[in-house]
Amino acid sequence: MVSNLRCSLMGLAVGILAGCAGSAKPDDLIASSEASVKTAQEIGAQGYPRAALSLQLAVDELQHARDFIKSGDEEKAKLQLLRAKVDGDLALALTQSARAVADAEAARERLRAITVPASEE
Amino acid sequence: MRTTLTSLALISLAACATAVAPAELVAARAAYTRAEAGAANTYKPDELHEARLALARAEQAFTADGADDHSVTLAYLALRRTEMAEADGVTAQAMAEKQQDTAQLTQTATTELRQTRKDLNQTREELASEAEARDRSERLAREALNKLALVSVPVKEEPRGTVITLPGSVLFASGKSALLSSGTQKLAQVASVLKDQPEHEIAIEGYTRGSDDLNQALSERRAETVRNFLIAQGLPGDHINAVGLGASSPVADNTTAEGRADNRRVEIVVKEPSEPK
Repeated sequence: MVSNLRCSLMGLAVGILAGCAGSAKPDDLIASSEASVKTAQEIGAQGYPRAALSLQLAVDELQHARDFIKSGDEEKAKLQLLRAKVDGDLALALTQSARAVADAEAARERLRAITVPASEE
Repeated sequence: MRTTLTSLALISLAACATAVAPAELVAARAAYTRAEAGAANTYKPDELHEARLALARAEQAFTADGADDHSVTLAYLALRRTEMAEADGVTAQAMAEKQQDTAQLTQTATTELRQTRKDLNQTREELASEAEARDRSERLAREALNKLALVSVPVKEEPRGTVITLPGSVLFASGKSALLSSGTQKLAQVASVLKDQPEHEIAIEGYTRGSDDLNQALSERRAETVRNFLIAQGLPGDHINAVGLGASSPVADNTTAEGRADNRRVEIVVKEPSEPK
């Protein structure tokens, strides 16, 4: 589901960058970028260093985009929003990855605990 | 003409050389090379493919337009796309490893549980067997006591074991250590009972009423005589010890004829079998 969303948004990004920028609305891009950031925050990306860095980049890029919109530079705003979106998605992916690795390590430890004989006293 | 063409080529090369790839594109290329060698290639080939397409678009944009905002953004997106493929590859690999370890954990735990149950059942069977043996031993002991009671042999339970007391007057003539016929008969009855309990250690203690050396030696000989008789009746010699204790541990007053008769005695101590270790 997340991957499909990423693919469609990637397609949108390519479309925008290929010359359709004029037809894309900044409001739509803001909504998708904000959703990405919110999702990353909700699953706790702040708790994992690499994910936290990506999340912070997304937040900063979102703010830059708003600043460009205020100053009337929609083109630059759209580029920042695209960056915010992928950085938010990456924060999500890195969080999931860190958790999966920790879970796998815990499972390995449990297995090791019952398969490796205790040292004799 | 040749000089002009050479100059044009040099100018063209110089133009290419100045078109330095932006840091985002350089990073995207390196990330893709790294991702190709990592878990994404095995576990997320579709995402890696999308990342390759994103990188190709960035390269095309850079070739066509140089490092403008659009091509740099495309390179940035390609970089993140590749990093996402890497992260998702690591996630998928970790999940697969966890699943494998969990399955092995379950299998190991199941095997250990089966072994534990087997050991438990074996221990239960051993305990039941030991309890049965103990019950049998106690039953035999009770039966033995009953048999001895039937032939008027005094039997009592003491901390050191079951003590069978045989009066000296029944076993031996005064000052002698050879068995009387009445003593032989009585000892044969005792021996038939003790043969049913071969696992018990037996101590034979000879006592006299006098405390001098002669009486001490007499008590030793009498104890030894009883021991030899029991062995002759089929009891295992290595389970029987004999000792003469003279006038020690009198059971009655030596000033009366009855008391002196009681003190002249042989005690057969049937000890409890030691607990299994």
